[in-house]
Amino acid sequence: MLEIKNLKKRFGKKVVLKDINLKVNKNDIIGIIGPSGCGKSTFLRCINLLEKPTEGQIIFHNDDIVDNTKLESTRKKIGMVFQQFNLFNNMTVLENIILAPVMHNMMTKKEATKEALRLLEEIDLKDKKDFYPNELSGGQKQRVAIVRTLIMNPEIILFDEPTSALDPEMIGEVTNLMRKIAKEGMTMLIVSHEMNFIKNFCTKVIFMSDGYILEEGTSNQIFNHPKNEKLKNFLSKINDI
Amino acid sequence: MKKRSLIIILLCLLFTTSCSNKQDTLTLVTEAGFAPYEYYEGGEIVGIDIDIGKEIAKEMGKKLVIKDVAFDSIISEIKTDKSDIGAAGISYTPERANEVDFTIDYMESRQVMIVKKDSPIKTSLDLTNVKAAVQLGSVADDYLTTNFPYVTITREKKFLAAIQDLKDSKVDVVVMDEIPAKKLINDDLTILPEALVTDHYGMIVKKGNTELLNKANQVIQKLKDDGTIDEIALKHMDHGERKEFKSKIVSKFYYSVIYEGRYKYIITGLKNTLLIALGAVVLGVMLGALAAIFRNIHDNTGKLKLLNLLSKCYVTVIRGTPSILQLMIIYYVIFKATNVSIVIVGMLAFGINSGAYVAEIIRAGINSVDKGQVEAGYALGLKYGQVTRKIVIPEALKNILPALGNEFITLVKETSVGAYIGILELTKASDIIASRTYDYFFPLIIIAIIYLVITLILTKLISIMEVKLNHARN
Repeated sequence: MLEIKNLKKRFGKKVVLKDINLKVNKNDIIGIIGPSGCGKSTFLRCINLLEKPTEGQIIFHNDDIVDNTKLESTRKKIGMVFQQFNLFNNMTVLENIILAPVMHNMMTKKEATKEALRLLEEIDLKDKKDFYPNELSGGQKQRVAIVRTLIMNPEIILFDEPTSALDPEMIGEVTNLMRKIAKEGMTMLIVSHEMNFIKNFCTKVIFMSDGYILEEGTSNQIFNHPKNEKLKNFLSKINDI
Repeated sequence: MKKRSLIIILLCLLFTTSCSNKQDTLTLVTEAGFAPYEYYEGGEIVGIDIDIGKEIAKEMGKKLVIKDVAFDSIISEIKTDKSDIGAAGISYTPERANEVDFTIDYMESRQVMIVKKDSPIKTSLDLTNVKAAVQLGSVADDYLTTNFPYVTITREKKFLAAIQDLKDSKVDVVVMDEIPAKKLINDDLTILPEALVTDHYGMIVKKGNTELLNKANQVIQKLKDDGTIDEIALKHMDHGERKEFKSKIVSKFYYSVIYEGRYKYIITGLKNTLLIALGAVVLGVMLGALAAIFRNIHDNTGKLKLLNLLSKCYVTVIRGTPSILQLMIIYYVIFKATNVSIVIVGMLAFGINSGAYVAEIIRAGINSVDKGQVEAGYALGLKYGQVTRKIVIPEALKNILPALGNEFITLVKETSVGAYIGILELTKASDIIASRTYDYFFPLIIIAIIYLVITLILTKLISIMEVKLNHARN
């Protein structure tokens, strides 16, 4: 459903992504790992065009979306969850969730509210519907952010380090929600430093370094039988901790 | 509803204050702090010059309108047709005669030296290596500057301030016109018998306005011939019998505030100060918001290149020049030869000035909005306009509103500059009172307290607003 071809991204003189190629199939749960600064987040942000690629193609349902004018309608189908949650601070939990579907005329306000309450009920946050983001814990914020994406009924969700800003005891509630969504058949791309989570959760893992994808495989292949020297090095450093 | 009624009030004001027919009136411009030539009494400007002006107007079958501006603005008032005739104890000098036409002289004026009674200065021969104070732009200023190179000159905007300098021993001598000088001397000060220079006061009109010049000359000659001028001068010389109280402070307060209803100047001043500040802040917010929005749209979408450039120029020019200069340019250049009320001119000038600062306040407010929230909006497929309306503006307002309140506080104080073009606002009110009492203490203290009270009230309102804005989130 999604194919990235020869993707390059430059910030000024600095080349962050050099030549990225990746095929994403429906129901794939793809983990993206690599040393910090290797371009993982930039790669993710290029997919929904929060960063405009310098070169290359992103084919989504046989359409190259890099230069098209249907930016907004593409983004509706590619959800994103951020490290810092990025909830709208001036809106309540409920308003955060129903803003986009109502603005896009996908639902009436009444329908959106009903759907939002259903989703909140599933994550046990229905009683927080009228709270403002700064009244929630990190884990609660991130779960609301995920619901805000889910209500758009996206085909893919991009997770940009979804648990990095959380206190350790809150990581579980977010990863559990992600597992639940995965079970329902969502396609996901996940940038994360939670190696155990990536290892146990992802159907496919890619290792990025210096702007390239150096190795790609099942999580068993990547974590238990790494071939690339840099990947071996990376994993050994993590295991040292 | 509130907004609409405010606009209606402003519009009414604009009409009531700006509608007067130039045809039937003779506008006399002066600086009313120069008794007995012109001074405030019972809320009105009176004096020798005013009485002569009235005679001229009567002769022409017109109604006399009096305008009170800073002394050094009088010539530009005449040159720009804002006023018809200038009368402010103006002495004939060749430089002035180059700019405007002088009538025949109606008064002879002697520039005298005022010193402390124990001063070593006895005659003009002693004027070497001394400090003198004069009124800026006056004959005394010219004369001393040209003829006494060894005198250090302090140029004050008001001759009262010059006297104050002498009382405070900041200077050794004050040089000024004899008639007002006589009213100023007290137990400590004395006028030296020698006149430093004798010159002649004339009225001024625009170059080439021979019709008015001839009329004025004719009237002045008649008044001189039949002795009316001497009567007028005498009448204005011996006004102001002083009622003394036991306590000096009570007496000062009485004369500063109550006598002749002088508090009315303060009330009018307060009204105009608030009106100008309010009008200016409304205009400033509109202009500032426009400039900020143009720049923001350009920064985010690359559109509106020309408007962005204009906004940038506007902010740069206004922030790069003093507000008093802008006020004068608007009054003497842009509104040259129009009859718009100066209060409106003040609102416009301060509004345009404030707009540049507001633009930056709004831009900073917008830029301070968490970029992550904006990105989250885009990631949900929202368009630039939707993100701006739903996310950026509500968030930015929290930063902008308190800063706008502060801008309003600044404006309230900034309006004091308006005195320069003759707006009767608070500072001008204190000036008027001081020019009558020859004492700055109460007028200045009272005005300072009023400014302070306004500022404190506004500060309190802003902090209430801040709490409310934050409450929306907590």
